[in-house]
Amino acid sequence: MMTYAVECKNISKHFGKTTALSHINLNMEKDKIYGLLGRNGAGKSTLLNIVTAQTFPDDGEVKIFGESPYENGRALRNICIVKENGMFLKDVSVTGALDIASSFYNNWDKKLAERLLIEFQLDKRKTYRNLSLGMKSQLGIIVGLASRAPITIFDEPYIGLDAAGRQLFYDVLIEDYMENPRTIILSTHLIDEVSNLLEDVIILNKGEVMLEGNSEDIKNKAFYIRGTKDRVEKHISGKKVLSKEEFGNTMAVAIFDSISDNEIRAMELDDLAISSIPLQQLFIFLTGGKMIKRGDINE
Amino acid sequence: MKLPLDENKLIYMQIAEAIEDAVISGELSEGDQVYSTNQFARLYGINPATAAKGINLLVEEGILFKRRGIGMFVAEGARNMIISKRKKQFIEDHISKLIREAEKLNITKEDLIDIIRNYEGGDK
Amino acid sequence: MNRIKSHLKMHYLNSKKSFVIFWSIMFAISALGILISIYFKSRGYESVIITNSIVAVVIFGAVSGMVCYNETLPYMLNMGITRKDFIFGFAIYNILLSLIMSVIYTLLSIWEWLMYKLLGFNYEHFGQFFSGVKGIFEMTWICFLVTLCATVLFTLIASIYYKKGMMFLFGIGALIMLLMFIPGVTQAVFGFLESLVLSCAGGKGYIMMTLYSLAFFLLCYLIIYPLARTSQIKR
Repeated sequence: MMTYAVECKNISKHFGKTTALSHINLNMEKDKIYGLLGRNGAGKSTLLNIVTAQTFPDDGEVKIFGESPYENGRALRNICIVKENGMFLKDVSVTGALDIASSFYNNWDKKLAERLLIEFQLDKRKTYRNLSLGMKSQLGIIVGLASRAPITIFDEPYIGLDAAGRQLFYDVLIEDYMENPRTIILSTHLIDEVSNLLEDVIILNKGEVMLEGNSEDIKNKAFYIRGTKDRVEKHISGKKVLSKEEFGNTMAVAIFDSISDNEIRAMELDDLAISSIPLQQLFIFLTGGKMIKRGDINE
Repeated sequence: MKLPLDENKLIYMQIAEAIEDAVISGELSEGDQVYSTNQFARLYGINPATAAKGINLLVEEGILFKRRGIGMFVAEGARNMIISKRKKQFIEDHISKLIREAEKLNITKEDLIDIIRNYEGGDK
Repeated sequence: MNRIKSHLKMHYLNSKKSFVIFWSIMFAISALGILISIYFKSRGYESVIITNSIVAVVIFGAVSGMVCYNETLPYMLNMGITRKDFIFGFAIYNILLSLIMSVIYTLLSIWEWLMYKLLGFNYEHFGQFFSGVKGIFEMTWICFLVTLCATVLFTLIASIYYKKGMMFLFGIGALIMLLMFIPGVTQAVFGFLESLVLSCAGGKGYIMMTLYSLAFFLLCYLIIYPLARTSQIKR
């Protein structure tokens, strides 16, 4: 039987009367990059806190490489989690924070940490309290990458980081992942930035798993189709339609369903334009409503 | 540096097409070693598993073959295979469309052939 | 063993700054006191002596027990440290901090004693704990015990606060106040405390004091442990 890196069985969590998570079932395989996507309040952080045994579920159980993480040092040593608001001691310097991290994470890569310090141009002597928002994120990213933990979790780790800083993070992440494969969970809003990095995608919506699977397979089921109204309607009958727009005799639809090569050919013969829906856009269709666009988050 | 990708297309299809283009243009000759999964991942900033999917697609079609422990190579006859595949695609995608469009405009097949023959713009 | 070292390193880095600031102030006050004494002595007054008080050390221990618990517990949980390991590390940190604080306090007292002796003041001017070189060990030890008890008490308060929140803590406070109003309770409590203090008097009193402190330390951790084991990170 296969041992998953992370296994969530029927997890539910309530805060007072609000349901944060309801019946979450997930299996994450070893050495894959996962994207945990969801709108604000979808339950991403709550789920990750439960996975890392920082919060307890009301129901269900978590397994890390087959073991419960609650008060289990052996299971917990496999995990490094980096959070949006940072989880560092305010009076400790950057050097100190890295020093502490190096003594608690078994696979700590000192060279990588030092290289990243230089690339981010982070002042080592500053205490955490005196770092800017972007620098705090940089410190978190350095800890997450240098930990080389078999399960590394980044929960929106880029607040205050500009586009160049985020790009550096993505580049180093994929580079280091190829040299040292490990399970990486990226929880994020910035889907269009990370979608190419993800092997698998999990979409959380209102505390439930809405969609999970290989990101290319998901993309291979999401299409825009545009053409004359009657022809579009003929071809999409029976397919799951996410969105539909008409202008005059023209109709554009977004569908989320598998389409065979023959069907595509038939559509092309009928002069329909077909293209894939980018993951970010698909996410917006699925989770409904307007989502924060790239760039809005850091302000 | 990262090469750009078209976000409206599947990434692994784009990887496969990029390799095919390189073989057709002669950048890659038959017997040449192809970029590794990791090199593609680095070049495009994509997940290596996705790059592997694109390469495997071409292995299945017999355009690439694997030498264990060394890497992926362009197979013998790959260029012809790609060209005949693309030709078939070209006919399906473009010619059929051309003919149907011509029919709408009351252009006969003979007229169409004449138009193509006399068309100057596409010639080198 | 290695992991305990890591815990202590973390606590060291976390409290280094406040520790240095605290002792800088203590030594500055001491120096200032001596200067003032010299000034008054030059004016012909005899008995102006300003020394540091153990109370400051005890308060520092208490505050650091409370603040450090609230800061380092979520930090360590986020690092994947078990609550059990955290509590074990924290207890050792409590002991070490109290010990170091009392040793430095003794050194400070010796320095003050030497300075005032050089200036021509007598032993009698000093506090009751300290009567020259022969009391050094006792003084350090008592300072250690008192600081430790204060630290662990406030660690307990912090653990209740972290688990149950401020309102619960107020509730406990109110409950204690209420109990004090029941006739006889106040007398009984003070009677008990008095007997504790009395048994600590005398030549070998510090042995009793050691036992009481140890019992108090263990009692507090007996309550802290289950509270910490079920504490979660705050949202």
